[in-house]
Amino acid sequence: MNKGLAALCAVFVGVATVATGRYFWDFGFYPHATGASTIAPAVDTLYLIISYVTTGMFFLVWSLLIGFMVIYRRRPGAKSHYSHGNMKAEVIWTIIPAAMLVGLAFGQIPTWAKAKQEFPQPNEVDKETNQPPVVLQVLAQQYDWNFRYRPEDNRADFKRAVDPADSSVTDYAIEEAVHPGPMIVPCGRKVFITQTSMDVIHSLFLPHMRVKQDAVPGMYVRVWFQPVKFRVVELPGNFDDWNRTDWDKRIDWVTEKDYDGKYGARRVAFRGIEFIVEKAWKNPDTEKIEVMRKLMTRPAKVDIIHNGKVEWDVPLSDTARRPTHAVIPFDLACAELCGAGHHTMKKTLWVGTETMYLAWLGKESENATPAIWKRWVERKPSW
Amino acid sequence: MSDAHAEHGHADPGHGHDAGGHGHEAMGFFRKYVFSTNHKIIGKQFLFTSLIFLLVAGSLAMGIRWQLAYPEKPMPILGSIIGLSKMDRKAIADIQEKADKEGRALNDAEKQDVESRYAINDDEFIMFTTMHGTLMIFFVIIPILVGAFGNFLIPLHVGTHDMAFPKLNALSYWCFWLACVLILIGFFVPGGHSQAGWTGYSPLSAHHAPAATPGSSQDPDWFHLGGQDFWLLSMFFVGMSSILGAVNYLTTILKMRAPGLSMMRLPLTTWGQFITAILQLLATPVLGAALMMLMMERFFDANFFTPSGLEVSKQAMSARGGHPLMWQHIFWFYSHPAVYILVLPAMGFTSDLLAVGCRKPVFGYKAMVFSMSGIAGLGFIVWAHHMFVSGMNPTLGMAFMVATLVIALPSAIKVFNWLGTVWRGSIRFDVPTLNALTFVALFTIGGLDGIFMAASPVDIFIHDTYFIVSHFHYVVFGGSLFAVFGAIYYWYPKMWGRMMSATAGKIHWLLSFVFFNLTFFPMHIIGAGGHMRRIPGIQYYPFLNEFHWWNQFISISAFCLGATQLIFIGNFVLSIWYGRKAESNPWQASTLEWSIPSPAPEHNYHTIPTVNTGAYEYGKDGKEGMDYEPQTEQKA
Repeated sequence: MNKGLAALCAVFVGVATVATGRYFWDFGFYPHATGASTIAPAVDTLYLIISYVTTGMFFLVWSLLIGFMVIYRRRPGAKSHYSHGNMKAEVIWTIIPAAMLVGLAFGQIPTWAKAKQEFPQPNEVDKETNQPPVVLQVLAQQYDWNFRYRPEDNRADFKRAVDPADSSVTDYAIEEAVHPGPMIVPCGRKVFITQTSMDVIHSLFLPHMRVKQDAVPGMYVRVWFQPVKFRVVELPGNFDDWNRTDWDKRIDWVTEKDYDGKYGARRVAFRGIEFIVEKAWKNPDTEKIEVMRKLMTRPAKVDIIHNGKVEWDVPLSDTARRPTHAVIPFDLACAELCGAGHHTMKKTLWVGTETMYLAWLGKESENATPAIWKRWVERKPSW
Repeated sequence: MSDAHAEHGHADPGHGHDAGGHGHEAMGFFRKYVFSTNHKIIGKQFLFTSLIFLLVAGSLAMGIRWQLAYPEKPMPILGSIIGLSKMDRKAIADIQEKADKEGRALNDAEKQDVESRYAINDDEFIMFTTMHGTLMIFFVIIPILVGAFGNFLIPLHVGTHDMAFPKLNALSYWCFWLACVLILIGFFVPGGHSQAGWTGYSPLSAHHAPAATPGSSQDPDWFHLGGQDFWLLSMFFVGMSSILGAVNYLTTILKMRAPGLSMMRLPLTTWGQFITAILQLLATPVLGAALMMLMMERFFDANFFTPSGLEVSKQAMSARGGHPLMWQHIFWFYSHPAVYILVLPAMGFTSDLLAVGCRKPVFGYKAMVFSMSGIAGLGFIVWAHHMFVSGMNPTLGMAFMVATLVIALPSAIKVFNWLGTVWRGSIRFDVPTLNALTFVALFTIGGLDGIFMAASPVDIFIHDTYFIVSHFHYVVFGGSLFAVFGAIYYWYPKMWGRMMSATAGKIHWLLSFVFFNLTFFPMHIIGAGGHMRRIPGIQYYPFLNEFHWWNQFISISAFCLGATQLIFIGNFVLSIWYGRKAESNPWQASTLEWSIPSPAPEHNYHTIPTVNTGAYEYGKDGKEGMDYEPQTEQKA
């Protein structure tokens, strides 16, 4: 019986080793989506510190447990040691974990304060970036996200300036527009969000920005982040060799400052391409190639930035003007169960240069609709 | 059952002296086993009912894992049982009928349509996650740990004939039974069962709009009750059952201990039950109040948790004045202590089982008691760590973060004291000991990964991901359920007069240990990668696509883990009739219950015992070559 158990244990160790190997092969030590905001390094460092501490404690406890099980297994004639405890040992193993836990507790306070308490002021020029923050309102509903930008940021026909930080939504003009499209922000600038929900609790989750904040009906909840880099992918000329490995290799993370030097002279698609990228990405590898091929031959249009100038609505079938690179959007998800369609409550977060941002907003405002906000304001919630 | 009866070698559980009722007159089956006031029968009633719900909730988990590994594909075997709604059945029947009328076989499109209906749809997936959590916590783990073992063991451990209030005890079970009936009815009402998560967050759980909150319709044919209403009513009766039980446990432990049995001589299992009962008595009424408030919102349009001006499915809601975070605060004020209700009794079992298995006194008995008390006390001031991203004031979040990290300390002390118990022991690797050692090993992981969540900046990222799912399964399954397995193997002889098969027990233990880890450890990885829970697939999110292989790996492990439990069920059921006949003290244990025959007689003790020692006098030179002193041992 015991030999059988030992053999099964060996099988387990084997499977666990393969699984662990697969884990390191796929993710290294750290499976988070790459951090792309100012808060991400602090959060990730804290995660790693806790990983090291807890992994150390895990090995300590398991080693002692397994060691004791082997050393003190029952033997003929052997007798256990009669002891009710040892005060000195108990004091030691109380004080050491206590010191570690207190250290962790107070060590993380600055990161928490930075993430959740030190908000940028909506009307002030930020000293670090020398620019005001992008200010936007988020209105969540089953199963969609609606975004409304500060008028002076849009510079595309918003009627008057308002302060979204002011929680009195009723101050907004009813006809001011809501963007049904993606969330769009410029790289390097702080983003200040005031969010709420019109039905149930949702949770704004921007994994690459390390942002998660519930949108709660009855409350205006503030959240902020500052993107510091974004992704540009080299679009392949030949899609037959398009696979996941290639995809990863083709991605380049760039900052606002790097961008002009590296890609200013390239033809970079910054709008419209998300459909292609997303479709390609969400399909298994073999189908991905086929999907890409189909999409590239269909009359899809993208907006391209080239030498600082925007070219609107370029058909992908126009091989002479086809983009060589594209900006890849980030994920935007709902992390709180909000109904049966919870998983469909997703959008994208576009981060790009200031030029891209302004162009994006201008274009998006064409599709903006006041309907939701109008209904919302007409009811005048009295929170 | 008396020893004389047991000599027949056929320990019929239905005919022993452990039958219900307090009189010696002949009693019918229903009086003995259904409407009994005997604590042992009530304990067994809780145990059987909860094991049935373990199968139901486990089946739902299989459905969840199937959907995550093979989205939108029909689930074999269980698919036709748990994945087919009434609407699906009707649609399939209609398709078949149409084809039959036309005298032809189903065409490809129809076949595909039928097949797709066997797959788990989005509504069903959310319902499965909601009901899996609800059933496992409130109908499996708590009733087994507290209802079954609390009832069965407390009078035996304190050396008395029965609970202080036997009729109240029976009422406690029947409240639970009513809750079981109500929660099962919810599966069959139009619109299905609750789909608001086991936490029932308002306003999702408060709306009546079926399109927005499936499982929340209020059908006139069902007395205007929907799945969510049955969920609320059922939870209310579960809470009532807990409160009645807690009153009984506390009174029995405080007032009915045998002579010489001071509180510091109680087995830690009973200490675990005692502290748990305090938690239940103080926290459960708060949940009851919250449930009542939510019911008033749904039934009478009162407003506690729903603010004004909401719009659901483009319909303006009439509610005004409530606040969603109030539900969260009240719910977690109960449910965080409930986490310790889920684990404190298991800590008690583990201490007892390790002391017996290692033949050593529990290392640092007083520290163990104070740690359990500390966990319970601190458990009342950490509830808002579930709400770090809820919109609660961040300064308050900081205070809860510090308190949460502090609560890890008593847990750490307990782990080291268990190690101290194993240290220099003489370890018998019998099934209860293996399960108790597994509790220590897995609870360590469940405790350590809790530190990630207590660290609020890290929690921002991993909140509501599979990291959390992994964490609480390591605590509740890896911890509590392994302790429950150990406890069932250990006290089985006292329940039925038979031993469970040790071979089947070891196979069950090993496979459970292996497949448990293969199922739940990788969830740390996908959770740290941001994989949200309660989504029926990762195909919707590019950043999660890399985890598809892992989801399949986890699911296959989960299926194996589920199948492994059939070994336990078979061993449990068959051993009642075919298990080896048990001696009165098969484990050479020192606590009071082992001084009486197996199974425990109707009134436990012929005469109330006098206790002379602590609960764990192992490793001594006892009488007749024994290495322990029973608690009733007369001192020279």
